[in-house]
Amino acid sequence: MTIERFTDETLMAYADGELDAETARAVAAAEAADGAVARRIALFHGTRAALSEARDARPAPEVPDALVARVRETLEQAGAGGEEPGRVVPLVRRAPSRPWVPVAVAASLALAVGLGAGLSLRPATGPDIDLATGPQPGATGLAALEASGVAGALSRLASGGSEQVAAGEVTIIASFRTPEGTLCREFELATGSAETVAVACAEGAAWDLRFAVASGRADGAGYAPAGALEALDTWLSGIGAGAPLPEDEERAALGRLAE
Amino acid sequence: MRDDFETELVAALPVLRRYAISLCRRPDMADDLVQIAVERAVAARDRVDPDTRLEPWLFRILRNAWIDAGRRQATRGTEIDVHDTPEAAVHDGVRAAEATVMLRQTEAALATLPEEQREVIVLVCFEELSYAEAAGVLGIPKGTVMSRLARGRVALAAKLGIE
Repeated sequence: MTIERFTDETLMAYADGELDAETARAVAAAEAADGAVARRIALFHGTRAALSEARDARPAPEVPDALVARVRETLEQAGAGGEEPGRVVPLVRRAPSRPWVPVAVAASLALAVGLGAGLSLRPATGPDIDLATGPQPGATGLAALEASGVAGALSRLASGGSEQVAAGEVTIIASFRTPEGTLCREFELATGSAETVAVACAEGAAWDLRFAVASGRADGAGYAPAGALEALDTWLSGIGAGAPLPEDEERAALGRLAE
Repeated sequence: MRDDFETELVAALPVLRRYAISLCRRPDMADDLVQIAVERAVAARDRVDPDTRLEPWLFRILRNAWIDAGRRQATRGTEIDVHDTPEAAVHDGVRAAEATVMLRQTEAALATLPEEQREVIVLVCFEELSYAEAAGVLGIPKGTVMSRLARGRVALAAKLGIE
């Protein structure tokens, strides 16, 4: 009898009960006849058992009441508004006064929200603000997206892409649409001293900065304000931002911008 | 049908939250991820395939929500070690202490694996998804799930001294 050689994937699938009956019989025969095969199968059994035990040692923690309440609220709102069968219910907007929004953290961020035509990234001022961890006034070079070269990167790069422009290094995080259908892009700008996470939305062929917040020191040595992403998340929920666009849709949307 | 969907959704919250914590390792962020996933799931409920389990579908939605924030977190976020969170404290007594040691060893070994291997291990060995379900969550072929899972487990076995 010749013993087939099986790949690790097949032996693992055997241990996990994921093989078809015929292959499983062949592996079982090899397991019985060949100690090396049997040991390899035991390895996969062993890792599975260790991982199961680890999982059971830490049972799923109880879901916080606040989360359950939020979920129930979401379901109720959808239930009240979703009477037509087959209709896709729009994303439910999260309540603006969510308790988890860390007010103190938000206040300590150098938070600048540029609305409408306001293009300057202007750190808020006040006694609580530690400018050492945020962008220095004027230091980000994001005074205008066009002049800084950021706009070009926004029009060119796919999500995940980075490019060195006049203002610093731009990394595109994601693209999404507002409820009105406007294309927006979330990106990071790392200058010599600071890092900013921002959102710009397309205005014709130009880009309009809508949101910017200091997210940390670019050199990695500084303290990264933990609330920066939460602030962004809150803002995104507030404007009803859609889910990130898949790659192909993003490419098509950017292509249309160029026309 | 709505009632079934909602009941299943609420029933899935603990595992959904556990999965969220395994992704972002921050309970506060995990709760937000779960909430976002629930909102998206409710919005897309008409696209649920009644012949498949709801959990893998929810995992996929949650993971997509995480990718948005997590692409950044993965490289320079401020992750909090789950061992430092109050929830990580496990029961009491000797058995719990032993379990905790084992848990820490396993999780520490798991944490050293490449993310792509870690995430298939979490889905298949922690959350007990089938290979095909895990492939659906991650949006990759089943063969890729199997090769990452096998490599990850061989590496894990070496670290844990499993032969």
